[in-house]
Amino acid sequence: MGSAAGTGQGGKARLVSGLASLALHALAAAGVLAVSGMEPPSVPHGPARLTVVTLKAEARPPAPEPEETVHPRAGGEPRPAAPPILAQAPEQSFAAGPAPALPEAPVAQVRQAPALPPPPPPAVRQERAEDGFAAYQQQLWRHIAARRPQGAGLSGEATVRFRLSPAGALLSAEIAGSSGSANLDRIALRTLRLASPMPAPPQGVASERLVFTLPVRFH
Amino acid sequence: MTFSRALCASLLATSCLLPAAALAQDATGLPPVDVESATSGAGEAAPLGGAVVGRDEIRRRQASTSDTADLLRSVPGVSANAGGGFSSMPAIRGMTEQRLRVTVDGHPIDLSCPNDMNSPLSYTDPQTIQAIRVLAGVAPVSAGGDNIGGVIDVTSARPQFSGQGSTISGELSAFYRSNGDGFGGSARVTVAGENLSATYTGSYTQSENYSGGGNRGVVRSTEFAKTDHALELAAQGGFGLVRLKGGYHFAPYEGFANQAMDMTDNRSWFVNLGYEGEFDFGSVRFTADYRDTDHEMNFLADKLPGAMPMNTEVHTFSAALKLDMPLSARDTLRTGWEYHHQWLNDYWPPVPGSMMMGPNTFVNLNAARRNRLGTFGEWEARWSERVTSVIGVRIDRVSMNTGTVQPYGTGMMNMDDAMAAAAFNAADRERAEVNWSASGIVSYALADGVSLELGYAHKARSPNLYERYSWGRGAMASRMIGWYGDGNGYVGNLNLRPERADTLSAALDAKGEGWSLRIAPYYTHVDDYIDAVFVKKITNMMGMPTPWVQLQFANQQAEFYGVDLSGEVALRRGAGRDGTTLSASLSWLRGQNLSDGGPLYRQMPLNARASLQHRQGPLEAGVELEWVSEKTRVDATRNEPVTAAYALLNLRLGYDLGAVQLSVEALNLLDKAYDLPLGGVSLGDHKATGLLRPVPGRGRSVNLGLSTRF
Repeated sequence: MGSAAGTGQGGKARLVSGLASLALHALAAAGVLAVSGMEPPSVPHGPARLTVVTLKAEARPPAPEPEETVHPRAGGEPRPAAPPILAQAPEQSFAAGPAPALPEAPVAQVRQAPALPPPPPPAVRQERAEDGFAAYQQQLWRHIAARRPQGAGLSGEATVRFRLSPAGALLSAEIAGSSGSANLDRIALRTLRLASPMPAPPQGVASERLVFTLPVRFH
Repeated sequence: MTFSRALCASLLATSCLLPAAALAQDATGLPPVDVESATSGAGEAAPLGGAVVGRDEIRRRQASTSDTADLLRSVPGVSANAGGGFSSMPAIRGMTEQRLRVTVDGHPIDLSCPNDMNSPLSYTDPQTIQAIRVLAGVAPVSAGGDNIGGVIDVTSARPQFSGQGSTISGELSAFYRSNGDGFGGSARVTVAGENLSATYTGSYTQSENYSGGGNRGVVRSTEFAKTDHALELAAQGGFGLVRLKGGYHFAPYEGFANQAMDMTDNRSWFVNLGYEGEFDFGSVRFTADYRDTDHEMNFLADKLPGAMPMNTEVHTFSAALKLDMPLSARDTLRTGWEYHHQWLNDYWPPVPGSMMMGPNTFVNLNAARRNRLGTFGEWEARWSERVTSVIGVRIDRVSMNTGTVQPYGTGMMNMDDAMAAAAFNAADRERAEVNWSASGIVSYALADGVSLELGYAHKARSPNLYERYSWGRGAMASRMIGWYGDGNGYVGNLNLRPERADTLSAALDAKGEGWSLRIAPYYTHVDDYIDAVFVKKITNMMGMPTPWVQLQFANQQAEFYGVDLSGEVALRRGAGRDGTTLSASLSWLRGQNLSDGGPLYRQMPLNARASLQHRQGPLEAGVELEWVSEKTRVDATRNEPVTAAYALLNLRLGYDLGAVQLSVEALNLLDKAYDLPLGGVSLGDHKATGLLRPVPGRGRSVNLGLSTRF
């Protein structure tokens, strides 16, 4: 009874202000898209929908797509909250994780063969490859650190061990050293999954070397 | 068929082998990534317009005050409306009381007194608070509904677990204040195992009446005493983290200088349950709580002789579920549901031998209920390293009702109340509203160290039980209602509509080597702002005029605008934490009632503070200057007093002996006489002396503090 009296009167006004607010948000979202479009391309972006693109590229082994070429701007339209496409993306990336390992791993080994049996490669070349790998580690670290999560109010250090494909996709991830809290361990693992695909490693790095450990310190 | 089965088998076999192979070989170690926690641990975005007061800062000032709201005055844009010694009410950018959402560890606490004496923050003690987070300006809808002015969240110590075996840790503190002979102490002890932890926190504090500065003399009805105790059990495992906390609060007395009544007994117990879980899809947060409060008002020594017991019983239950789902490195979706139930009885037993206050119990609110069911959706997107947006929508349904009421009697002296009760009982008192809110915040890093945040929010809140259902129209009955400290009488209004506020705010933050600056302007327009309109002048029993008026809650239009500035410069830097820092802040605010064209009540005048902080080894020294301009923009409807400008000088010294930290401070060192611009009128003094004055601010107080951690 009271509700009808209370809400009916302001109903129209509320509808109008609701529409106005929606329009404002759409404008804000469009503005944000436009602004982010002006970002320097050097900042790596890793939206989940791009995972799909990268995985497709992996099906054709030799052509890992450089991540910088794809950009959220390519998504086009500003979307309202909870776009359904995005909801599917992470699942695909997890499910696809271990599976594509089979076809691509041997190919990579055959094609690149840098480390294992060292058939006399010129020393200079090897050093250069090492420099490249060291730079890649930095790039990888920056990529993950930029996607660091918010803590959960607990402290601890979780060390994750993960393996990347030659294209930079996350193949597997596990806890190598627990923080003592299952919640923190899971946040650390989730961070890696969300950061995938990572920047593609330099060509010529053996897939056995694409295994990393990363301590995540929660304060 | 056979082939594909073979392929499957080999795939399975290889995928099993691969991780084993990966483990067998050496991995390349990357440097650690450091992750900072949001203070609430709730995973909510903390906007630039917000602030966090952390444990270190609180520890430094816990000897100064037992009033948590008073601590928050150091946050630009936050002021404190004076109440009792541990119950002043924070105001964020001119908005206060039920316009703010105040939570402790994420659990909301209701105002449950016709004078808001047992404010939510009165259940906290600066000695045991871990951090206070203030969301001024545009708070994201995930931070809670049914508020239009912002959010204050107090957090106690997070559970701790030991890596191996069990550990004991804790903190003890004690303080003494010369002005009012205040003293208190606290203890926190945590026993932590690998997966179980128990934390006890307890505190006690008391004070006599304080003295005003200069020649102001003692300020009556400012004494207080209270104690709080809580035990939290926490368990972690594969399921996540579960926290169960129970606590008890007892305040035997708290004087209110600016109210007709004092709090003579307040007991409250609560049980909080919290769950935090991390899953592949995201985070789950569940909270539930039950609180039972028995609140009694009467007169303390300064307001005697006389008696007028007023009792309030409140039960609240709330439950909330929040999901935080990172969909990708860019997008996070948040959604949540919240239910809050409040049940309240407010009755005033008859006074034996009193013609006026008898023969029946005055039933002010009879089993009043206020239920709220809310849900929200919020989308946070990190478009790049530089651009982040948070957009959310929220719906809250608020329903309220109350039973029939009765006056003290139906004789001539109670005629106004008797007629009002009859009308109230005949009216339809059930109310329900659906309020929607929305917030949109965009943060943009313009350059290294320079960021800009823009926000817009539409927020709504429904009237509280007292605004809607206070029905007494007699002079005395109405003067018992109101949290304004102005001595006036207030009558509720069944026809009140919810307040709806539209806020635009911005914050520009710049940081460089050894300096920082923040500029935060804002504008809020409130439709149906619940203010008060004049009903009649109040006369005493002889029919003689009094300084008071009777007002009725009414929907008005209002606007607030202003700017908060703050900055810091490192003057000298030494090794480690050594150094000298100069910090300053300034707040300017205008609150205007657009319906009557006058200033809104209790709006803080222009104010600024500057402090010089020096740290060298174990020694820490600080000088603080606090300046408040004169308050001439006053609410004519309430006869708000004008107050003069003042400046206070505070000195602080801290010494860290390693095991023990000592502090000595002199607040209002020059014993400056001044009146609190948000203090209202000093009714305790008025009753004793017959003279009406604004509530004086505290005179010089030398405070000693001692704390130790183990």
